[in-house]
Amino acid sequence: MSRPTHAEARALLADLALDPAIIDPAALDRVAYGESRTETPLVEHIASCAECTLDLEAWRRTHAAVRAALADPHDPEHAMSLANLAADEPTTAPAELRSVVLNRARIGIMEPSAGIEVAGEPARPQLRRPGISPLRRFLPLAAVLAVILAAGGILLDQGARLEQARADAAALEAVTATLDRVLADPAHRIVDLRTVDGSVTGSLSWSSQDIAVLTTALDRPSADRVYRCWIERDGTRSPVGTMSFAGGTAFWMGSLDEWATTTFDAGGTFGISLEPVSGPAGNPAILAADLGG
Amino acid sequence: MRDRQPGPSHNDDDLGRGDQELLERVARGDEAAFMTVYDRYADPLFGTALRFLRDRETAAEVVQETFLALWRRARQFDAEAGSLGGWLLGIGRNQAIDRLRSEARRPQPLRPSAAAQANENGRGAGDGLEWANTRLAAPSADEPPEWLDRRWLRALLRTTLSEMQPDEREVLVLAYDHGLSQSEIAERLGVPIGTVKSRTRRALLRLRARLGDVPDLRPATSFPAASGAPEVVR
Repeated sequence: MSRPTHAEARALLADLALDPAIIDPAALDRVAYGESRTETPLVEHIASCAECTLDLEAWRRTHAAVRAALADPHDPEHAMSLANLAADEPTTAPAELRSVVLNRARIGIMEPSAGIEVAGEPARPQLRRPGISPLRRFLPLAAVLAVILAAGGILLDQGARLEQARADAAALEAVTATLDRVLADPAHRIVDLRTVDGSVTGSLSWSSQDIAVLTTALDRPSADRVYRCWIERDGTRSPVGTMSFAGGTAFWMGSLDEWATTTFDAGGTFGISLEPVSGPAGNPAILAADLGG
Repeated sequence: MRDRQPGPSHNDDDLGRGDQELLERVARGDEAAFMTVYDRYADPLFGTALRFLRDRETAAEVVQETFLALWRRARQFDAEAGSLGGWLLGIGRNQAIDRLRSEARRPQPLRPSAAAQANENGRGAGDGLEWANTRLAAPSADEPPEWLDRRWLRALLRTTLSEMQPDEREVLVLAYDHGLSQSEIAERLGVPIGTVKSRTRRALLRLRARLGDVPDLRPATSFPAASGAPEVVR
């Protein structure tokens, strides 16, 4: 047999691995590497081909893993039969888990600790020996004062950041609690929030009691602007809320009790637009969700 | 029912490239890529965690934490070091074992044993799981790590087998349990040998997609005795 090409070698390896008679990993090794370590064309190829070496190793590990799983924990001498492990019905993850994971990922982007930079340790003042100059005697004190002031500034800044992080964490905790309530309601619904080009960048979910809007696609608006949420039906917009921010996550949590005059289940379009702080919502939607109907 | 991809590709090269590209998109915050990974791996991960932990809620928590870890650490994935499925299942295994240990530290309310409940309900006798369920002790947080690894591996194998077509499982059982060659299997089943080969190929490739990244375990010795709680999934 001449030395196989790479493709032929991979096919040979696959055939070897396919033969149930040699699914024993040791047997696979013997065949692939040569029982008496004599050079065979396949062995020569494997020895010089990293890909085939990895391929062989994957087959060996697969069969070894099956053997390890079948080993009887109470009686190592007697392996469990594969048939005993092959009687299960397939399982699927709960359907609602998908939304939970996605929404938690959206929230998880802004973990409270993520945006906090740890300030460097303040530099120690360089203490000078006294007596060189009367004025210089005060330099160490001035340096210490400077360091104290600088450190104070850093601490104040750090304190402000911590406060912001705490506020963000509290807001996200409230968002999570609302989402949990929504998802716990068997009648809840979730629709995608999309940009004008159709990309999914958030979600709108609601139950019979709560509404949760969540997206990472919005930047904080300037002080004179807000993101307004509305529902549009038959060409008429009804304002329903305003987006808030926690770090990079924009959200609106609402309660259906507060505005029972409208409903999400009657179809139409849910939209978010950037509007002046005082003024109606008339600008084009930045994000929108189809409510059906 | 949401759209699902049928599981990892059978072409390792394509899989590796696809995984790396997907993870690069996930690392950039691409939610669609993240959900593609979720749809591909959530079911096997949930099934394995459920069979390992025997509790749906805890298994769902393991899935959540595993995918959140993926979302945060997607940049750390290295396709050269193994498959995405292997990486995720490795994270899931660690999460599941951590859950087991944290549950063990919590005081447990008294409740009838799962065995007693199964008997009262008339379950556990005569079904295909009886042998495995009653021979295998419930995992315990006190067990050495290699035993827990083996239990996870067994749960992973059960999950993988459960996803196969019956005719794929059949050829594996005949090969592993009865040591039959492909021609003997063909004769036993009364089907052409080519059919046996294609079934075996599909089955082994599915096994390899899930088990090909599993590190070797040490030989099984002196497992703890069965504690009486059968391996019942609730």
